[in-house]
Amino acid sequence: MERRAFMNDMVRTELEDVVGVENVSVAVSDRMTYGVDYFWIGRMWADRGQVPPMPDWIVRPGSAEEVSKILKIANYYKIPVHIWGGGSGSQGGALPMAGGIMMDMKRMSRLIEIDEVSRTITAEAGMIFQQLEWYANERGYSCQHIPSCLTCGTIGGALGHRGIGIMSTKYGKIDDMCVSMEVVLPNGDIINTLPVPKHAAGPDLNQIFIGSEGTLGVITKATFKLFEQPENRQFRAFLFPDMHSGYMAGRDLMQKVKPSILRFYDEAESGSIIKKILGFEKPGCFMNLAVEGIRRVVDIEMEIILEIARKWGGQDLGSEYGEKWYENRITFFYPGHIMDIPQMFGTMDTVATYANIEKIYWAMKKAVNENFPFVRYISHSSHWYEWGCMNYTRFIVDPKDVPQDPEEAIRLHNQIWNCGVRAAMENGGVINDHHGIGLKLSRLMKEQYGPAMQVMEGLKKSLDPNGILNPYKLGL
Amino acid sequence: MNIIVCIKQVPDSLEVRLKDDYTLERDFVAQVMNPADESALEWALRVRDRTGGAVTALSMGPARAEGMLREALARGADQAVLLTDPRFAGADTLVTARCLASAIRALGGADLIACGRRAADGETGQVGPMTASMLDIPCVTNAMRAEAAERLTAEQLTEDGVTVWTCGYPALVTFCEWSYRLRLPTLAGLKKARQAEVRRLMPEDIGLSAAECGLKASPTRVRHVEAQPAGVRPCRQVSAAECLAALRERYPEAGL
Amino acid sequence: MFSEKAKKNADACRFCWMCRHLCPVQLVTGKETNTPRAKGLQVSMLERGMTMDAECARTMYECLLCGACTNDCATGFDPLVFIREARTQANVLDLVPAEVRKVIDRVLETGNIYGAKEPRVDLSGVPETGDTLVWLGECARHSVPETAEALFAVLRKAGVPFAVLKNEPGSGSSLGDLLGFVEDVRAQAQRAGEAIRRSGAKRVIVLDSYDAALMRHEYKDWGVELPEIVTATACVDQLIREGRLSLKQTHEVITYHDGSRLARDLDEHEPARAILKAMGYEIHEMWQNRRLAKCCGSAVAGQYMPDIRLRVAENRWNDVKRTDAKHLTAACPQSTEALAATAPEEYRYTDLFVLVKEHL
Repeated sequence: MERRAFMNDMVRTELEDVVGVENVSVAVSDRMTYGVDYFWIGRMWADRGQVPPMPDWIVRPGSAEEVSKILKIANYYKIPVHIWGGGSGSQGGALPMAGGIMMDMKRMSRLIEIDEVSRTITAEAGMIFQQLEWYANERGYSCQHIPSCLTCGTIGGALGHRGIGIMSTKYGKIDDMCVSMEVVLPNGDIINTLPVPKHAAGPDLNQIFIGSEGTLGVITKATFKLFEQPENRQFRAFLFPDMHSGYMAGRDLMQKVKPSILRFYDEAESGSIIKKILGFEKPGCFMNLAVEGIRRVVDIEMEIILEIARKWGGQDLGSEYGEKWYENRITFFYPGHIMDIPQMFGTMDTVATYANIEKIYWAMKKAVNENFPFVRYISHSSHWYEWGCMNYTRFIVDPKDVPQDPEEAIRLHNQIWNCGVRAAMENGGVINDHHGIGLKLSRLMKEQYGPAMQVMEGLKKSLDPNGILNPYKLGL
Repeated sequence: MNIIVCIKQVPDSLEVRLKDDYTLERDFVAQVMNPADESALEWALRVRDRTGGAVTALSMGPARAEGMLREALARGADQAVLLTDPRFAGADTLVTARCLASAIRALGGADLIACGRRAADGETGQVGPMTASMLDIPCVTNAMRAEAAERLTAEQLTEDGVTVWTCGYPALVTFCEWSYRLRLPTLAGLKKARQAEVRRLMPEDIGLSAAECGLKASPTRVRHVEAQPAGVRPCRQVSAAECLAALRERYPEAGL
Repeated sequence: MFSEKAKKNADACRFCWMCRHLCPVQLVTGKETNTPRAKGLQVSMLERGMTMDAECARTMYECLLCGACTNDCATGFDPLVFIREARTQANVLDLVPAEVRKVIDRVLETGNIYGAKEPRVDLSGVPETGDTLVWLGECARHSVPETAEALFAVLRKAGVPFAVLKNEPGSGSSLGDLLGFVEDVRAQAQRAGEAIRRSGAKRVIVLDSYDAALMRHEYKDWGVELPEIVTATACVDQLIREGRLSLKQTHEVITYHDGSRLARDLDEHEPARAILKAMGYEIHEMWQNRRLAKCCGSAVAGQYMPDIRLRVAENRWNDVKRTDAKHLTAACPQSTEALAATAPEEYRYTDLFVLVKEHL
């Protein structure tokens, strides 16, 4: 005789009433597939045969109305609600750490409209982003949001964590590209942000919900800008004598042109790239960039770039590397190429002004290398702004140095993160550039914001008084 | 007929990683049943199907090899035995043969021992004949075909053709890769394999001391292993007319 | 209890999301478990102490084995390996869903997924032995006989003598998808190979791409000898090139659906298109075509998960609607079975061979 309470079944009946029996699941094998996203700890945990975090019910809504009803039920019973699109986030943001309801949004994947007059595209938030991009491509446009998770994550996911793509330097981050959204508030009210993102009607609702990682509302629909496909794209690579000259060159060229791709690597990461290109080793820092648009304009932009690179001592390495890199940019993310279990790894991206970014690079490197000498540390900057740029620092721990005991492994992982991220924050860097906070960095949010945190806490308290939406994430 | 099939688990060809002592790093690489051993197993199963008796799959390897032995059970083997213990690790061909021969004796021997002719990861081809020698039984190597009737008849592949051997029982035969195509598992076999017990044996169980097993007991050491650079052929093809010029170029010191 | 090969693929796929935008089942159900990653994760957890439950077994069958995921993987991993083996495990553990069990029983009893005793194809006057054998497959024999009869008409018009087996055994394709690749399936393949041998055929024209794919790939691994295998599309394309068929011309706009086994397993895209062009059709391609084609459903799926197969086929029609073509064609009987039944209003579907027959 199995001893079980039947309250779960009572709730299940209510949920089935909303979405249909076939769209609610409680099978163990189903539930555990939501226990792993791209967060290292979750993967390590599953790899070692531990029980993953699991929701109690999986619910698949088909409309904003169904989302609304589910949230009302959750509020009544005070059941936590987590939201899952593609589940490909690296920060554990989608993991059902509090059990309860997991809302899988992928039934809501309809294309709503392509407005060719306004050059916008609207779709439900559960659509995988590649699908949206293909709908745009069919008409000769592009959304120009090209992250590595293009084929993995949903529209809602990209918005939820304020995602970025490789073309962001020219076309913007996801928060620049989003025109309008439909959001379901924790109390079940369905709201729309304003139809356009630029106005003088108070604080921007888009920017409140974008990056809120499922803690303030459920994004159900979004409208994005459409760009014409560029007529021409030209690549160029350079070898700068050191980090400083490369950063300064980048800053200077950002004032004059907007490359679509701009990637600058530290000495460690440059080493192997240079060897491949030149056939021999040469010290320095490697930069790879692309400009695109109307051919005549691109030609001029490239001339300007060559001048600036020369001024800062950059050796011209031609266009071949860039073209090949672009062709193979996704291959890295498939198994076998990408770092994965049994290694321990993390990408501690941060962003800062030009005045601080170099300082941060050295501070993080020093802090991590001194405290964890067995860690490999590589870095590059791949998204640039007029005022500064971001830095991707990756740490990699060889399998032999990863503790066998899963809980020891978690401790080491979190210590390395604390060390690196705090070094960044201490020197003017922000806790994260575009992967989000999720579960991984939740504990550091108050340190980042100080008294400003109360603005977000205030929003959270007023919108979600029962605290049901995605608990333990985002420091809220 | 009772048949013992010696099976080795080897890395899936191109992904081999060597540890510093040139033994194989088995953990991160897919492991498969040695192709030549598959032939041995299929042949053994066919003999058993025809004459009755039992097929025992025997292997020496890390605990991971148990999966391979269960696959052998799913394909029709009656029993599976795994020699597994840290003390067995790193054995060269002589020590491997010693362990297999001791295990075979401990299991009560058999009418036939079937092996693959060589392992895909070492390719020495020595273990089969060494094991036969230690058991003091006749051995036919490189068999393409074999028949177990009143006597054993086997066709041995040689450089210039086939030699047909016959002998009595017990005997050991080593088979060429793909001489017999291994059958797939049956549903019934898979069911059986799930529940079956794979016997694990340690040195004590087969009458050996730690000093007689593993890397320490091995009289030969691997000094160096290197991969043949793919696609590079060190030989150059010349016509008779070019021969002298080519030789002069390649061996200038010979003063041709 | 998965093979090493399955474990290696599952351990690679379990943490990777790169192909999930392509799964035709996921695109209509929105279920996380309808992605190769979730299936890989489940298999990897089964190997780490989780027990297979009924829902897990059902998940493994909620897949068309269309290979879109395999085709996408830049590092060569293949979810189909562990999905098929998971189905084998479901059989071993008696967890096969009831709807699937019914179809398996039908195949074991009658040799086909439809449970039909007699083929619906008109085989009167067709010999059973000859140099050229036409292999029809279950779907054409029992569900869409017009495709087979159209092919016969085309071959006759081109003056190609051919034989057809009255009691054509299953090729092992549907059994292999239902049980995984176990000895029982190989035995089925051996029976098919035997039947082909007895017909004396030197060449086999295979109408159903699912059969052709199995014969080209697995039969070799399973030691089943075959004479020359040619797809019906390649055959008819060749006949047109040789001038043995003169076809009425049209200027109609049409779009062509690449069947998954034909386009991916057999890497064949142009013969069908050449056939259409030879009739004057102007092909307006769907965005996802050739190796990227979105599967419209298989015959086996149509038997045990008809609702999903229906929605998958409708989703393919949605791709058609975004072209300006109002007419769809495909070359595989299984595509015909799925798409003909779901044609929306104002849209037409015609099987490729039926189309050629109409143009004779």
